[in-house]
Amino acid sequence: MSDDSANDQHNWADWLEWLNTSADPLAVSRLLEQSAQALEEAGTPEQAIERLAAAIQAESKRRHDQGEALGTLLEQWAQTLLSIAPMLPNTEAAYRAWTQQPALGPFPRRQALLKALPDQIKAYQNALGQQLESATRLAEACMEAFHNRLQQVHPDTEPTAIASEALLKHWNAVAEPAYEHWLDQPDTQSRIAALTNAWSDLLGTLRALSNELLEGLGLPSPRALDDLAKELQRQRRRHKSDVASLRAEILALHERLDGQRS
Amino acid sequence: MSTSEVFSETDNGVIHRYGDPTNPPLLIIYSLVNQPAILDFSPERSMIARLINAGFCVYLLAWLSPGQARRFLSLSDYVLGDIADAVADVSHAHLQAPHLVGVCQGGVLALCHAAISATYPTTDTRHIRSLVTLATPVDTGHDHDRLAQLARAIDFKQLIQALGNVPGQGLAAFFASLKPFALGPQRYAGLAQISTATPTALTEFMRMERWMYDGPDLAGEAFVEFAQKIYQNNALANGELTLDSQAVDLANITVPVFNAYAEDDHLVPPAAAAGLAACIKSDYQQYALAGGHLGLFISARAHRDLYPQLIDWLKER
Repeated sequence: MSDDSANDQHNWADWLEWLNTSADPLAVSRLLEQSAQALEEAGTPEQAIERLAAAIQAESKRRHDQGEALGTLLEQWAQTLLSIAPMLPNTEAAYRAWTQQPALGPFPRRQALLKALPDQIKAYQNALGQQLESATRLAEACMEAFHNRLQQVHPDTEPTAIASEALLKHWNAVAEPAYEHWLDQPDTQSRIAALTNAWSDLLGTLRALSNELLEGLGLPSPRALDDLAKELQRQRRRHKSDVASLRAEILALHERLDGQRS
Repeated sequence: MSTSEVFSETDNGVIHRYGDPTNPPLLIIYSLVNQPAILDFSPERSMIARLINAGFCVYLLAWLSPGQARRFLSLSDYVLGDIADAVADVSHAHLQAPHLVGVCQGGVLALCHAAISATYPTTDTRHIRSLVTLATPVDTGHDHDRLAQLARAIDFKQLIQALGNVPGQGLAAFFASLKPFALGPQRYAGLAQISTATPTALTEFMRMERWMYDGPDLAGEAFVEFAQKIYQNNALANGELTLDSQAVDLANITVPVFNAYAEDDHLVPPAAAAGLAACIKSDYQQYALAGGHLGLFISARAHRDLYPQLIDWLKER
């Protein structure tokens, strides 16, 4: 048994070694390397096919120049791929098709969540981008004001020669009010709200998807914990109401007894 | 810090008792945000110690962190449940109604209790003797109310559906982000001199640090209600707030009210706190203290100017 295993290992090593040698008649090793590189640089499936075809064509040309017949085969392969490429949807079209087609077949809820996800990711990234852009503009304005302030207060001193405590004081004096002013702008407030809402939407969908997954595996989900918490809340309030009714009854009985005694 | 004992428990809180139980009772309702440690910050800057020394038996309702099992707790649970129970327990122990002191968000809860309990029969044990509100947001309809403006377009329901409870540390980070430079570089730059700081200064620095960033989580449902009703709809000032179908009409409050706020408070701007004046029909006194939000509780100025006046006011009631 162990001998067989050792032999297998030896055979595989030989085979892989053969791939690495110049005796690679089908150019598999080189093609794999070039294809991987081409695929890494591609942004859409269509681009991937085109780059793959270009890699193959390059290899074909190289071999053709060296007088190898394999070049012709590779050229045909590349041409076939290129004829297929336009038939493949690009990312944008695939995205549109994916998000706009109605949920069909079983698990429509899960499908709806998955369809919502790309839009929500896009909305979140967009909101985050806008907020970061605005924050960057604020930071740049603060830097400029800081620079001006240093020139005003310490006209003859290099910033590097100013004590760090003084620099910090100047920075705070400039940046804090600018930040507060920025925060008070309706645009900033709208962007913060948009970012928070986009994040909530995305998180809500991810949470719902994790509910689906966990419940599919028969495991406790956040939704199940919410149900329990809701039920606890209902029971707590009912208990509280029962106790209040009992107290009122006891009080009424006390008052009646007191009345009878007197 | 001031010595206390556990007096009793409510559904969602623990009532601590400070001082002589034969003295007149005063019940503090703290905010659901942060810990009440700021009220007993240091021997020299302790609001609780001031009240004990003034001859009150002080009770503090300290909220428990809700946990996921209590994420659906509502404002009604806190006001009609815990606060009402706490007032009744203290009244029962002292055979007299307590003064009620609401701090920040706790002031809103205390106002709700005062307005609703005013409609109860006179024999009810949930009545209070007077009401004090400290840094309490009432009228959030002003343009310069930063929290209210930031809250305007946020979908809190959706946020809480995703989050469950609001993490205390997340909330602390949000509050810090309102003053990022003062609470960031400026505050921590002082750490460079830490080797020369006195042990007291170090202890206070770390106590403040812990207080700022170690707040409890907030029950999701109560958070949404507070954000929507108080900040988005300004329902308390507009007289539109209801808790379990019971209207919270501040005009119903019959006990005397003392309302103190800070003039440079970035969390509860003066206009938001002073807006209470327009809603109260009973004996009302207002006090504006120079300084920021926390200054109302721990500043030397507050302990020199505000608390003596507040204590005199309480003693007259």
